[in-house]
Amino acid sequence: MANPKPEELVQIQYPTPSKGWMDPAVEFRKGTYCYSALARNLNYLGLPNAREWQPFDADWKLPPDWKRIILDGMKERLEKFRSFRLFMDICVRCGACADKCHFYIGSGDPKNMPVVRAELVRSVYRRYFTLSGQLFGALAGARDLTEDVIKEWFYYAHQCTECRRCSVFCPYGIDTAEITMIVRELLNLIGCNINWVLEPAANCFRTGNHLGIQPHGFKDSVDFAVDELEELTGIRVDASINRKGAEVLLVVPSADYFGTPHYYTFLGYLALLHEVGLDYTFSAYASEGGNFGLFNSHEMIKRLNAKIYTEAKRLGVKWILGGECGHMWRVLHQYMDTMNGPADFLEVPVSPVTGTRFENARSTKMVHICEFTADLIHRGKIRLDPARNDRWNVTYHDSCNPARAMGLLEEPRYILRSVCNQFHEMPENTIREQTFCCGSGSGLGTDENFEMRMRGGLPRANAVKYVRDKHGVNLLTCICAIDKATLPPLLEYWVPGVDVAGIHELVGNALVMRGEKERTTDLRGEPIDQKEVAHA
Amino acid sequence: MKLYGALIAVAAISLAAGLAGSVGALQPLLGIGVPYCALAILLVGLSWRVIRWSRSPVPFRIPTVCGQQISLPWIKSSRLESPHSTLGVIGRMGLEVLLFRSLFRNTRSRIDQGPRLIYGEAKWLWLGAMAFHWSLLVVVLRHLRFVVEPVPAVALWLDGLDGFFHVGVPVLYVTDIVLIAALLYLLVRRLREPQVRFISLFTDYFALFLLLGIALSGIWMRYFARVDAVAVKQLALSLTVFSPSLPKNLSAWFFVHLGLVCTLAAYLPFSKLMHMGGIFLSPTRNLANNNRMKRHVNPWNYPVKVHTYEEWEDEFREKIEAAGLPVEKH
Amino acid sequence: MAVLSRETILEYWLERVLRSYPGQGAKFLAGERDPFRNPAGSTMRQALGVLLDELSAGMDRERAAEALDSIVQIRAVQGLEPSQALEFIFQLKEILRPQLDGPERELVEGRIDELALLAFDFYMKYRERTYQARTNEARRRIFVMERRQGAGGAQEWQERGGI
Repeated sequence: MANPKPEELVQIQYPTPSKGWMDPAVEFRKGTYCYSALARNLNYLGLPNAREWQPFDADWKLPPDWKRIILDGMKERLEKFRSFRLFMDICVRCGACADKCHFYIGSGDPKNMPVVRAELVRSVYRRYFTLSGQLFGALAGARDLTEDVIKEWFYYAHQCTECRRCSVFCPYGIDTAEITMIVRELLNLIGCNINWVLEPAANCFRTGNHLGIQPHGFKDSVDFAVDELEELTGIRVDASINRKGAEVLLVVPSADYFGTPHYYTFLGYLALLHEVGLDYTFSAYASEGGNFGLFNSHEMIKRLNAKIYTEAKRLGVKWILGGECGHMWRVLHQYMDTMNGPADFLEVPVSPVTGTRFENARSTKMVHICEFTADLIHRGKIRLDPARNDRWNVTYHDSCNPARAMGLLEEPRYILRSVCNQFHEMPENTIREQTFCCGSGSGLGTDENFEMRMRGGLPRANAVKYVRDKHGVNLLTCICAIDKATLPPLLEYWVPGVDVAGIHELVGNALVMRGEKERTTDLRGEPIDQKEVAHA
Repeated sequence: MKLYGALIAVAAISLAAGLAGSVGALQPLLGIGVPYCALAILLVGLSWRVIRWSRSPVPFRIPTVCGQQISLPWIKSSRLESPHSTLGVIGRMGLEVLLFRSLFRNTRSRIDQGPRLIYGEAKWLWLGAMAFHWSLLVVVLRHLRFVVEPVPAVALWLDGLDGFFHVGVPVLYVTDIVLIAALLYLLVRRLREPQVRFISLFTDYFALFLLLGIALSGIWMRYFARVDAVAVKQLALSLTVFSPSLPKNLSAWFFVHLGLVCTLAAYLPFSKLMHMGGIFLSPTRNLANNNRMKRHVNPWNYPVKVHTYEEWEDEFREKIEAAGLPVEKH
Repeated sequence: MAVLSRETILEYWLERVLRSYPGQGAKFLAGERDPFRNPAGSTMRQALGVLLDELSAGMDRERAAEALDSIVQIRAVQGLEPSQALEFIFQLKEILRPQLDGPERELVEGRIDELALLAFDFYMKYRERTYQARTNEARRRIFVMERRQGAGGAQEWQERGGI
């Protein structure tokens, strides 16, 4: 390149996009997309257009009448969801949502502003479903539906984790998650889905859990945990499976009995429920609380979620207790009763330990374990020794859905303050209803999407970095299985020295069990008295 | 292009209205025909939009919760940010509609060396929006004195309040100044902030220029052109009782103002300005967070294909039995 | 730097850096000066400014390294080829060449080379970190199975560098 002359240097021309955001061209760069769903998973679930393809292919092998399918699908959903129709109509483009999205903040890609992500769909809506769009075209913000638009939708609908942070700030409550969900449904109609969503969904449909663990494998995992807990505490707990006549059905995300750090939380549940003598059982058929259907379509949510009530009925339990999981609780709290209820064969949940009636769950009949535990602690039904968690300096990450779908804000904090001595909140604008997503929710936590996740998780990581540097925090607690899977690599990259744990892991550590042997290690098998300092 | 296009469009409408207004023969069309048409379009359009929205059901209860849920009795729930009762929802909607609660939450973020995110408060948008909407409301209510006789007390009271400072003749209204200032702020913000500029459409500028045009022409009429208010009132009253009669001495400035107002009225149902109706229907705001307490019914809930327990047991029976777990059928 | 002001040089450099951004990001990232509104772009702007100052003045290596580190940490996960990710350092040479002459040019270009070498270290540090994090993530997913099969306990895993 020739050396620019000084006068040339002054005139800087930035490459100007000719059509602004209306130009649908996207580039599928390595590390910024998820692989397509395998044909066998689509076939197993009976979904259309199963084929071999990848997002970076030029030809996506769409069905010949794909355009009609999408437009018919849009029409149907406009008539079925007031949210969709309204959110297509009322945005004033004030930009309040713009810098609220973690993907936008982390990547700077303007199409990741929630408003633009929605405009990608709105422009098509205007073109085909409104008079002004049909008459005035681009002037009214309308554009044609082309194959490039489909690719663009696919790209950006999978750069939204459905965390709903933007909808907190929107003056009309426009919820990008709702739009993303509908767009993914539409893409699903022409077979454009990602494997990290459909494989877990297919597994869950068949075996009962996302990991595809078959009944005997599930039993082995639970037995293994029981053995390990005995080694750690000297107490053998009873964790039954598919036992009829139990009072409570316990449903947890499958990662709890398979991955780490989830597993330690699972040990925490086992210890706690044994200590208070809850009469509960697991189900191998409904061995998954999480619901990857949420990332695919409303119909798939219902298909996967149906198992929980079915199984509660078959086993004859009185009510259901749910473990720590984010999207799982979005479904349980906001969808389950509507989709698969009414649960009139169950009873209003009553804690047999404290007698507390969970009036807030009187219709759905499912209680969050943090509600259950907070009640136990408040009524003084368990003995806790928070000093056993002294090696941890703790902060709490509000997992998106328990925060913004449920409002489960104080229960986990109350528990944390009771089970550990050092607790510090992250900055105000990054917690509670304003919490930042881990950057990997809604089925985006894939290995191939790693770099995008690091960008999307940057805002969360920064808040953690802040409390690490200021207060020496070395443990980030959360109540979401996806968080527990994806925050560790996020922190490993941006904030080394901070570990991740579930709330009930700390409960399990602090819990003084009747008849336990002297605890020398915590649930991770590490010495209790050792106090670690965060290494910056 | 979008910006200038919108400016030209509004200027053209004003010019056309002003020119037509100065031609006597066209005055009945402009003073009587156009307002009735615009009003009809507004009413029909509004109802059509609202009916169309309300005909789409709300299949799921999906409030965006912004505070503590109601759960255990000793945990204080947030009645307004996470309402569990109708009263709470009304409160939440009230805050939203009257005080723009969500916009008030606005924050700005930036990354510093490190990289480290820093958040600052950004209430300017909230303030601008509040100033605009409230002063617009007062201005509209003040106009009641033209269309209702005797003038309603609320209009008189607002009039007095608005002209509180008793500056100038005719008395200067505070809301006129605030309205213009707020509109200019919203326009400048749209142009100067790259994010907002990036997302702005022709229609966004058009709406702003239209409102600015209406406000400016109104102010011009009142303070500078000194339009005959009695004549205006005559026309307005005659329109309201459906026996229109056109006074002689209406100035062209009045027709500019009226033309722009009619454009706004006719345009409103087809535009984003419908947000004022839509906010009441927004399912993330107008539903209570009582999901697990009270079942929400989806009118189109339909049966789906599930993997039944029996199918599951049939597939895995041997393994289940080998693992020592109970089965329904041996 | 006699001919052009620091600001102009910085502007030009920033534009070159942002050119590598996908889609329409470049114009957007460069257009906004208010750091409150443009997080990614403003980090670049700020850090490049520090680098420019240090190159042309005293070259406080610690300060320069810190700024360089923060740019590279972001660029290492931006889906760029290594050459693209680090190109920005060399681009400064082209920009500064007509501005400087003789021994001054040699001095500054020497410093730029020094920074470039340092940038390789940072880039590799962060890329290695992603591999490590990805490997650890994959292993965490099957943690219970691995443990059940006795393929090395948590202790051993930790000794090998996992979390």
